[in-house]
Amino acid sequence: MGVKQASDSVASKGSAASGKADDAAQHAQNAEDLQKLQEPMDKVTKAVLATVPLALAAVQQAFQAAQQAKSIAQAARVTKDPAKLMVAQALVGAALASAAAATAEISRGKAMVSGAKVTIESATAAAKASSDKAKSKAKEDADKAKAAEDKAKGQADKAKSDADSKADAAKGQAKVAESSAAAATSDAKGKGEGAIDGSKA
Amino acid sequence: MSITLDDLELVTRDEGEPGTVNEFRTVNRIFLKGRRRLVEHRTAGAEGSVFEDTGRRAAVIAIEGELVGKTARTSLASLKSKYDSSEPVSFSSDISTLADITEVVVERLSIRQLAGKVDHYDFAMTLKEHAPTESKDSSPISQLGDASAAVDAVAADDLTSALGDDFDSTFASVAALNDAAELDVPGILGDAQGLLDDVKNAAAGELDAAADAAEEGAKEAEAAAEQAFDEAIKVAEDSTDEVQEKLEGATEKGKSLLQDVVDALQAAIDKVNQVTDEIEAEVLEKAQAYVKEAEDKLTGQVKDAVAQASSKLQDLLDQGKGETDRIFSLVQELVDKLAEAKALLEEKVDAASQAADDVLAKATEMRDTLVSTFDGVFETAEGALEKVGGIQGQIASAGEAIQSVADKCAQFKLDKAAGAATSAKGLLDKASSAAEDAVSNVTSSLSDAKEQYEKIKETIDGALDGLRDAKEQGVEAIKNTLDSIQGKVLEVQSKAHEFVADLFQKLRELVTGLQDTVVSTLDNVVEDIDKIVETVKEGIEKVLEVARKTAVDVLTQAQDAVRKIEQTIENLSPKLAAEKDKVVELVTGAKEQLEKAKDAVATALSKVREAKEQKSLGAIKDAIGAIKDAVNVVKDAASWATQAAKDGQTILSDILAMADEVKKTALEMKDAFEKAAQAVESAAEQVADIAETTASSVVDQAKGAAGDLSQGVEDAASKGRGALGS
Repeated sequence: MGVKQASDSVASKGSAASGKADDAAQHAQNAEDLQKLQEPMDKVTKAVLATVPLALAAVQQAFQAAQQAKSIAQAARVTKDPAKLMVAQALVGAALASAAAATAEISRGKAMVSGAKVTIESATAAAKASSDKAKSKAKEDADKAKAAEDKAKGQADKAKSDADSKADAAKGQAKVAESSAAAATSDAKGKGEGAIDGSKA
Repeated sequence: MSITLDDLELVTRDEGEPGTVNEFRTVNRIFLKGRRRLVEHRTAGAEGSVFEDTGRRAAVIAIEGELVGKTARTSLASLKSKYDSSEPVSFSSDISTLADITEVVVERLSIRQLAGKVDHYDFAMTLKEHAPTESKDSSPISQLGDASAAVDAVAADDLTSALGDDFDSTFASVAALNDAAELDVPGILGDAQGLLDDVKNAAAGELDAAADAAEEGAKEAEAAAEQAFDEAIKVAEDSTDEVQEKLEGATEKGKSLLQDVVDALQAAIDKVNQVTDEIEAEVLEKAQAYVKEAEDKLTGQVKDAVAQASSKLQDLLDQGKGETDRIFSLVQELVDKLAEAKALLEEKVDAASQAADDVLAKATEMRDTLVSTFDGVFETAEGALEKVGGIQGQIASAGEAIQSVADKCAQFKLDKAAGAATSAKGLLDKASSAAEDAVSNVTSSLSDAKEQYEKIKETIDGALDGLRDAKEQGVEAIKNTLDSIQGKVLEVQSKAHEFVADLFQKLRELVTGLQDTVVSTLDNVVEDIDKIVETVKEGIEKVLEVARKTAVDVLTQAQDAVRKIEQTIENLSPKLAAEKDKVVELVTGAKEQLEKAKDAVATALSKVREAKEQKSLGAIKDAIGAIKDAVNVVKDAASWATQAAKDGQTILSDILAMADEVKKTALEMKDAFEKAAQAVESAAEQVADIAETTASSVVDQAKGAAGDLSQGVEDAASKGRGALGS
């Protein structure tokens, strides 16, 4: 593997590492975002715990009041006393109003909890989406890095092959040049000697 | 992906005949829109609002797609019918976000067909979620409303009963509220208490994921740093070492080759000097000795030949003199015999002349006799002719008499007598005719004979005249001939004497001239040999000059090539050292960067593991920061390595350029050697030319010398032959 191919491979792996770091950073950001939700969730919990049991107690109390009114109504029915029935009706009406108000408080608490749950779910989903995106990007980077590494390896192999071919060609040329030079020297020597011998003859 | 609207699949591929597609339906874009109905409760003192979820609005789905193929029009009609019906249709899809939607109404449908595209439709439609019909609201509060209405409805009838019923209804509502509250509140409280745990768990999960990802990133960075250290630097170092090794090898090889060349040249020069010295010291001397020997030999041989020729000439002269004396004696004898023969011949001629006269006289006498004889014959013949004429007249008269006898016999019917008379008449006619023919023939023969006789007589007369002339001419001719022969012989004798005297004079001059010619030829030969010696000397000097010049040229070119290559190698050495220093510097820098990267990665990894144990967001963030720093350091190192690679490539290019320079110089050296070889070859050709010219000149001169010699000998021989011929 050549220097450039090796450094390209290293750079690719560095990019892959960078992608993983980005993924980690995204997870960390998600964690931070989720941790930021802890305080409002704590408040929602506290508010619900503070209000909903009281509302439940109010509803139960209204129910007890309604039961008392029911006793009055039963008596009034027996006596066919419309006034008492109207009193009982007023009492149960008040109980109903009280229970309705308390039920509204419970519903509010329920809505708060539902909202909080939706918030957490959406935050989790957003975190998951971000993480998926970061993972996808990291995977993409890793794939790119792998592809770049493969490419670098291929280039390296090709470069090695080319270099080997060139080296062989250069060796061949060098050998040819060497033998040519030796032949030229020998030829020159031979011709010189031949010429001299010829002149001598 | 699967999206089905009622019975129509929007993503499908309807295969037709093998290899064909009837229709291709696809969806290019899906858009989903949803909105919740939230009631906001603002509470005094509270931070933020509390929202009551009262459900959501119908989801809106927008789909864009294409219908392509020969059955696309049918699908399009089906799609349009769903829009036209305005009835909810079933909807299903494997897309998770659409999974809860089961019924939709087609609110909007848009179809587009592009010009030039057959059976190809683009469609866009908007679907709205349709919720199935629910049961009537039965909440306690609504029941309360209904109860009030009931009170109103029964107020006029039975108040008590109505109030009772109304009370029951109201009480039932309160009970229902109570039941609902008791049922809902524990769950609400539980959910409220679980909120914090959910958030914490989700955050913890993300923290774990962050730590894991950070650890993986750190490991990747570590692997990158390790690889960079293990491979990039190693490859760089190996490449540097390999290049340096190859260059050193090439340099050593070049030097070795150069040394071989220098040795070969030196050997060639030594050989040239040695041979030149040999030629000067030995060959020339030998040639001179050889020429001298040839000269002496030739001179000796020529002298011998001349002596032999002179001796032979003297012998020939002596022999010639003897022969001449003998010839003169013979000639004198011939002259004497000729005189004697002449006298004899003259005597015989006279006798012959007398005999000829006798012959002529006898011939004349014979002629006269012949004439007389023939005249008598002719007279006799003419007399015979006259007699024959008379007989012929008698025969004619006898014929007439017989004819008259025949006529009379015929008159008297004497047939037999007439016949005999007629036959006699016929015989007489035949005898007359024969006599006439005989007369005619004899007359003609006589005439011819006379003519012949006249001719013979003339011929005989001519012959006699010719004989007389011939006799006179012959005698005169013989006498003249004899005189002429005698005069010629005497003249020949005189000329022979004169010629022989002249011949001997010339022979003496010839011998003297021959000696002069031979001496002159020898002088010419010696002169030619001197010229040959000069020519050989000149040839040898030229050869020596060419050989020396060639050797000097070859040596000079080779020295130039060697100096050039040595200079190139000397120039290359500091450059190579500088390039090596650069590479070493680059590699060292890359090493330092990679060491930093490794340290940074190790630190980051340590922090990640620590953060993982602590599960602290701050620690994880620090670790991630450290990883990013490490990654940056690794990237910097990779950049360093890349830069080093680029610089290395530049350096390699420089080195290759240097190698090219060496190669170029080697090629120049090769060219120089080829030129040297050509120069040597040319010198050899020149030497061969000179040798050939010299040899040719020597041959010509030798031929000239031989020609001179041959001419001299030929002249002498010619003169000798002339003398001998004379």
